[in-house]
Amino acid sequence: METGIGHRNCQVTSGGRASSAPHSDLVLPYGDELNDGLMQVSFTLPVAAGALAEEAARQAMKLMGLEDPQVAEAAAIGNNATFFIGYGRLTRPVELSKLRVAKPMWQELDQGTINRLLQETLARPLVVVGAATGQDAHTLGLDAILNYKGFAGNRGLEAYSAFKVVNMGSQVPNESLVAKARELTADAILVSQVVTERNVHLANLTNLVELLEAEGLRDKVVLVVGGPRITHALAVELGYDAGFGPGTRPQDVASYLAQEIARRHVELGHLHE
Amino acid sequence: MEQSLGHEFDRLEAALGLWRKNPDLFTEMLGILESLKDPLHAISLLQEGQVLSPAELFILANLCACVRRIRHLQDQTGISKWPANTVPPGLEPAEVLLAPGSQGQPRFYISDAYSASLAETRRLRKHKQEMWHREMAKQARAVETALGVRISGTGEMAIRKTGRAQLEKARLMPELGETRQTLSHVYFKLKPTRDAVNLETELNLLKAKQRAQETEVLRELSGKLKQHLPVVEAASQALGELDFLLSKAELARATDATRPEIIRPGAGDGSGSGKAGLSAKHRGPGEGLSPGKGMDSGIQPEPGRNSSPGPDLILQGAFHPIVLNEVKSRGGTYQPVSIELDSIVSVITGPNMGGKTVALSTVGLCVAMAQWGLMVPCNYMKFGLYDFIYFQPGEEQTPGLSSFAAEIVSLKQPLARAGERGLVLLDEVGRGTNPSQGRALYAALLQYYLENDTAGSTVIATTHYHGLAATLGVPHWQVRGLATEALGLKDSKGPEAGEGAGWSEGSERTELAGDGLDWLYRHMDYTLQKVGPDTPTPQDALVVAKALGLDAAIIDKALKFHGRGG
Amino acid sequence: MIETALHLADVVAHSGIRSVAIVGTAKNVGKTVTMNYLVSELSAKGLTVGLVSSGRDGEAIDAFTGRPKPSVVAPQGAWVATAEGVLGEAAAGLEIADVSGHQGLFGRLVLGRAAEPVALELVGPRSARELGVLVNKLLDLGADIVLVDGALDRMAAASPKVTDATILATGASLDMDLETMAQQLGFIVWLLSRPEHPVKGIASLAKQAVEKDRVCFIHAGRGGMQGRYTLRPINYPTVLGVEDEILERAGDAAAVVVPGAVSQAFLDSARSWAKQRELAVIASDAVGIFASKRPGVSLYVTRPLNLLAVTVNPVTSLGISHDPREMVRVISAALRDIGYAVPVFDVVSGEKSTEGVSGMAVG
Repeated sequence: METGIGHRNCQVTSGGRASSAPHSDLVLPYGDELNDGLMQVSFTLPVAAGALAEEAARQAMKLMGLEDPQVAEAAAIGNNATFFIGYGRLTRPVELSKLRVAKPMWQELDQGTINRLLQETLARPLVVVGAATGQDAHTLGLDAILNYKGFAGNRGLEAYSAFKVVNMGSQVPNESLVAKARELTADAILVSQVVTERNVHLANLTNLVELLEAEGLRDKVVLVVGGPRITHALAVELGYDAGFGPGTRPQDVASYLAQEIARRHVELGHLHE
Repeated sequence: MEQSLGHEFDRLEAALGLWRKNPDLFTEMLGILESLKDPLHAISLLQEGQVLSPAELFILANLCACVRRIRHLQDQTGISKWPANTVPPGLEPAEVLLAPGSQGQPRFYISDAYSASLAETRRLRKHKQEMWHREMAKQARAVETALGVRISGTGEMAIRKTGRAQLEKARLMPELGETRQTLSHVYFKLKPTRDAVNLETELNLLKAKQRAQETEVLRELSGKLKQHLPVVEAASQALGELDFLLSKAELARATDATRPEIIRPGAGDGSGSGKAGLSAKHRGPGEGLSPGKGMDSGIQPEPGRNSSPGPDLILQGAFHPIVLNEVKSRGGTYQPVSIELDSIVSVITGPNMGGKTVALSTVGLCVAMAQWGLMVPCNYMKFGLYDFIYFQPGEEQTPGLSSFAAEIVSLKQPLARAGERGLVLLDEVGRGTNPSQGRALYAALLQYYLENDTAGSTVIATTHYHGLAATLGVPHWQVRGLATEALGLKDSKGPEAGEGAGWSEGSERTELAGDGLDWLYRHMDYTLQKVGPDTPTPQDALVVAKALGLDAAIIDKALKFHGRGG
Repeated sequence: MIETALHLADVVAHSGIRSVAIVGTAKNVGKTVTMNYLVSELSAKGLTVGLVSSGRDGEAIDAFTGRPKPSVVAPQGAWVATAEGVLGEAAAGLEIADVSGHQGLFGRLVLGRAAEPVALELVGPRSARELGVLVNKLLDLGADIVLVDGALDRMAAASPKVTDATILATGASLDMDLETMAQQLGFIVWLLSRPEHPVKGIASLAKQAVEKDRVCFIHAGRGGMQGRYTLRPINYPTVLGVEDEILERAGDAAAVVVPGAVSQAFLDSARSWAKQRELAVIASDAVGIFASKRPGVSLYVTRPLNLLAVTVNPVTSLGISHDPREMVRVISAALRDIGYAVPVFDVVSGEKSTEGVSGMAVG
């Protein structure tokens, strides 16, 4: 049976009643005054600068749903394109109560509690293997989470007695990462990747998931991805257990790992009864 | 303590008895318990007076159904035969609330039966939806007939730009809205008719009304269920107890385990004094394994137990289930542990890889299981309760301490609990230091127990120091070790080289390629035998080293050093 | 000329399969569009569908590009499985029949039947193994056919351990150039169509071998129990990182059976090895093969997967489009050229090619 920790580590939050607009459920862009809907846009059209291009720009803004579109600036880019800055007014408000943001929840734990929880759960250190995979040469994020020094005064996973950290560094092929995870019987894999919209990065992240599946290891590890454009929602779609974006502190990752491992341990115990 | 433990074993035996009579019923019960979903969160929400989600309500409906089915099965065997704490109270009133009119598989749905007004809203909404679909379908048929193009399953219609006439016609149709175009096609979507637009508005309002009414049903239902909270909690508790009891019974069956005979420490007489041992003997609720529980001074066993009439701890045919599984998985045969301990201190010797540590952990595990109220994986066990079990942690590494230092720091724990009856399992103390000092230290430690222990502790010490038992005058057990034919070091074919040397052509080996370990496992006799004055001392360290692939030249030199046979 | 001929839904309905994975060659190739099409058409045929995702689907906004995505609507009577944390008020429209396991981030998995048409976000379990369990649960509960929406370019849902059959969605997002796209697709289809080893004795031994969780060699002419072939497991659970070490142990093996991932590096090594002595590589199933090109070595599986059809999305996420008819024609021709007559459909425009596809007649 489940324990208290991580029992409901998720809740769906309805926006609106939170901070930004306490008195209204309907919001518009803030231009000169509250909810006047005024906004600025910029874009490029493949049309030579001139009256036709400006009319095209106004039309484009209308298609965006902007009223009273005005071209504030038009700059020719070469012979056949024009860059625009325009202003317009959005009239249809965003209805905050209709928005649903699935937000994963777990308790933030302090270092002592994390160490204790993991000690009680595993009675050994939790083995974390981290790597910046594929072509990615950025290790900054990974180092900030893993290395003793940590990030913004928040000590990295190496500073926790409950973690045994192996940092494989950058440009690690997925195959090597999986082989290392198997060799060390890793409990968790931390992948850092600067994802751009180009498929190659996404494909590299999903490739790791598929490799772990094929090797029969997917169920045996907590799989975490971090990077500047990563969200939890994207991580789940990619097949990861969790995803951490910018501003993540080592303590966030450590708290998540500790509670996820504890939850799985209970689940597993239940299964084996 | 012995008494309540005895009761626990009585309950477990009762369960096993029922099981033997009616195994199918037990299988069914375990199946039901497996389908149970943890209701604790739903229960805590009820306690807090919160509105439960449909998922939580399903979990309660599932609990009710499990209770109903379990009670039905318990009835079949006679409900009085079951330990009182494992019989859940009936939850029929709550079940009726959760599943009006259903007795089958547990389901939860905010059905129309909860609220006439909700039913009416739903009926109306469904009716309007059908009207909307008819309206749109009519529209779609008209368009499809007029243009001769099918509207696809995705609700879009693609018209080729080359079909100019058709395209013009489509563009002129008020029923169609152009959505996008590609180089070759123009895509249209069906526009709702005026009636359909009005219906959409109505449907939106009806949907909002329906959701509000559904929430109201959930609120009311949660309120009503709260009134049944005490009995729901009691049922959940009872299912937990039943689950625990049956799991213990299942474990006992799976490991073919035995009820241990519990005697009063020091009073062992080898003639089934177990029952006598159950006479009220106060030890406090701390159970055998919790730290810091002193022993009642009034019931300390008599000192000088070396002369006591029977063994304190008897284990026959005991096995360690995890090691057994591991041995089975590599296709080996497992030799169970049998030992009788009648002295405060006993010494076990044997070759490396000879199972000394397994023997120690088997003793520790059996005692722990018995004290936890679990049947013990052995043929026979007799023992008296211990206040604590200490298992010297062997090879464990503590950061910043050498293995020897860690060992010494750890040893202070059992020593600090003098006066309590401990089962102290020591695995080659002093192995990490200078051999002569290590041996002296080990001897002194054991001597200390012999001289100072008044609580009737049992200390089992494994060692390579052969004279240790004789020095102390305590019982000496040894692992039989490698079978004699394997000992002919020079003539023996010995273990083959491992897989590491590659697979030679012509070999017929099809089993899992192992290494020297396989060979060792096959030839090692793990049986413990009590050593008398004439028992020969096995010297298998060199065979083991050879088996594990150490260079033969070194083995030969070692034989010379050891002066074997000369 | 109203389209009445055989279409994708007919292919699925008449194939007798109980579960089908819709997997994509890339992002934005129309997996969810294909799924919605099948939901609507199969329901119209009176089949009870079961819906589950191997990742995350039906959310209003694409988690990555921020663009709107098609939502998933479960028709009345359909069985669905999704995580509690994204269910929200849709829960009121479900007759809940199971709350099981744990998705992780988004809470427990809820299984239910739509009591009315319900718009849903689908979030699936974290591993293919759990996905397989979930598919079977939905079938047990009463679904006639379970549709599994794959996530991004992940193929794991297509494994025969999870689903009976596969629909491969592809589109301009894979590559804008039609010929290049068709070529890339051809390779993926080739990979997903890997058959069993043609020698029965080897194929049946290979099936045993993948259960051992050890890399195994199969040798000919050793008079073992299985006819003329013998199985020799070696002490390696994986080939990753030890590709050459393993092949050095091949001896005169006719085949090497890899229970886990077959990496490109292993295929490269196997190819150079096979230059001296014929050696076939056998994977557990096609989703365990991580080849980026045709390996130049015989490649088989122990459990072939059933590739029902290819669907195409002529439009990229940037709005650029091919001519659907041309696209279907080129792709179909490219697949026929390499010997795989898989039916090709565009479910939006209705374009299709079932030319040369045997067994397409409806009885």
